[in-house]
Amino acid sequence: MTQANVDFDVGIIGGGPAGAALASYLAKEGISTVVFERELFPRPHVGESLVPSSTRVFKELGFLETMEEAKFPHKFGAVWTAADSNKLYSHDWKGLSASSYADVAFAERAQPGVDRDYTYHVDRGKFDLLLLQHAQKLGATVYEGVSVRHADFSNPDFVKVQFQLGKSEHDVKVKLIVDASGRRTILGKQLDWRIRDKVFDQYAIHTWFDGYDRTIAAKYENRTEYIYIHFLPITNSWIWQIPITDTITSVGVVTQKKHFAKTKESREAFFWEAISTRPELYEGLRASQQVRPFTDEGDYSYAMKQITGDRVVLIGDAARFVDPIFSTGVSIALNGARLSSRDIVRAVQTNNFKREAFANYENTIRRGTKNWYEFITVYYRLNVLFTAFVRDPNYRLDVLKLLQGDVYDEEAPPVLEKMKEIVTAVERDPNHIWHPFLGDLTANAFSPDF
Amino acid sequence: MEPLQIADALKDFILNQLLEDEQVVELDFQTPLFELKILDSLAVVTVVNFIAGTFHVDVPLEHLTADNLRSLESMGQLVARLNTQAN
Repeated sequence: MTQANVDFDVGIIGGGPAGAALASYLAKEGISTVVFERELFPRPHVGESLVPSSTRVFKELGFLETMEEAKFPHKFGAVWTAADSNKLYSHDWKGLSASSYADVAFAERAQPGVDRDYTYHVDRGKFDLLLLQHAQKLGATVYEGVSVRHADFSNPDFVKVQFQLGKSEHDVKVKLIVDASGRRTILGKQLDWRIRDKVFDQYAIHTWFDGYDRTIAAKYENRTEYIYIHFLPITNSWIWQIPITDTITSVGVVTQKKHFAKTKESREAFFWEAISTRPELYEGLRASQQVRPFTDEGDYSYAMKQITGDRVVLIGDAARFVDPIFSTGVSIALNGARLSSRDIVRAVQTNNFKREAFANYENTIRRGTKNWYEFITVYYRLNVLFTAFVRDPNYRLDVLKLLQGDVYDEEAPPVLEKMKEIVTAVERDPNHIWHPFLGDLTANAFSPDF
Repeated sequence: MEPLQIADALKDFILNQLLEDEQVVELDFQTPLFELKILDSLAVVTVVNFIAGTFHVDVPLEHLTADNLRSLESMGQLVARLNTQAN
């Protein structure tokens, strides 16, 4: 086979955490890499809270020092709260009320390869810029303001990446194209690999507040820098509360599409209406200053029929998006970069870009996201079980392992199997005390069709 | 282990460890624990952990049914039954 005359070994669409981390890994190995980023960084982005498995990637890339210098708030754990006797918990079983509070600290479980008991909350404008600059420093080429339109696979020896600059069309030839375009899923759409998730149909609306008193929601003073997840008395709905700086807090409402109004005005009204079901939060937020316009996120939760092919690899949100409940987005992006980089380095070295060259990555990331998916499904299907497991010393550390993002090494983590067993038992037994709390996810939620 | 003995220990635990100080409740072996909100769906898990620690009996979460948890008496019977099965 003749060596094709290409401009770069690897082209990456998107300079977010997945693309920038992969570019860093490849540049470190001396592989010529180009990143096409549509925006001019910094730009705002949703997905501001990380999980500790991110730390392995930062260490390997020599990026931890930058994280510390940037003074991103340290995230020591997570708290879940529910209002006392709200509708969800009290409406149909003997007036039962489940006042619910659960928290975990990452310090409770030592994590192999992770040398600290915290991760970070990040201003994504700043974080994404720093990581992309890091890739550039390591030797990757970065084109900003370049929006890829199409990848042409017609020649078996290279991929032609097509984009527009000003009024003229341009193209760049690469041996491998990686889609890290986030929820835009440029190649997933082009190749018709995208499958909508029928189980999760969630929307989110979010903004930033300055001066919100984070002690309002904190049961314990020293936990104001945790992420807070506040349940709402509406099915599958919750609020996130994420520290961005000492004074700025990101707040978002996640709900089912059917609750989500069509017009912007009524969506904002919905945000406040949802918040008002938790009066202490409502008053706290109203007393602070909203410093960004409301942004909404829809059309999420999808899978891909395949995430690798001949001369193509999908990573991060471009490969799959589940649901943001456990702050997994950035971590999956970073770990996707980490795992795929091993296959890609070998592919470049052996000049074999057939789909099977990326099988390790595809299998491992699928296993991890399958575990995440099932964990999230249990959470929505039977919230009280999640809280019970967090509180139960027999299961607490196993649940924490999942929350830390260590989901890739086991085909079926025993704690997840146990949770699924109990959910099934509760579903079958109307006499079970948790039966009335079953969420309205469909029964086949455990077998996503991808 | 006798069911009534177990029920007595559970009563002690619920009154002295589980309930807030200001909550004074009349608790006998037939008191409906859920109807009177002495227990709720999560507090039950704390009781299950207490049972495991005190009697070395694991109550599978699948067994947390309204019938089994109706009263101290029914909980005592459940634990005694599980204990017999385990031996």
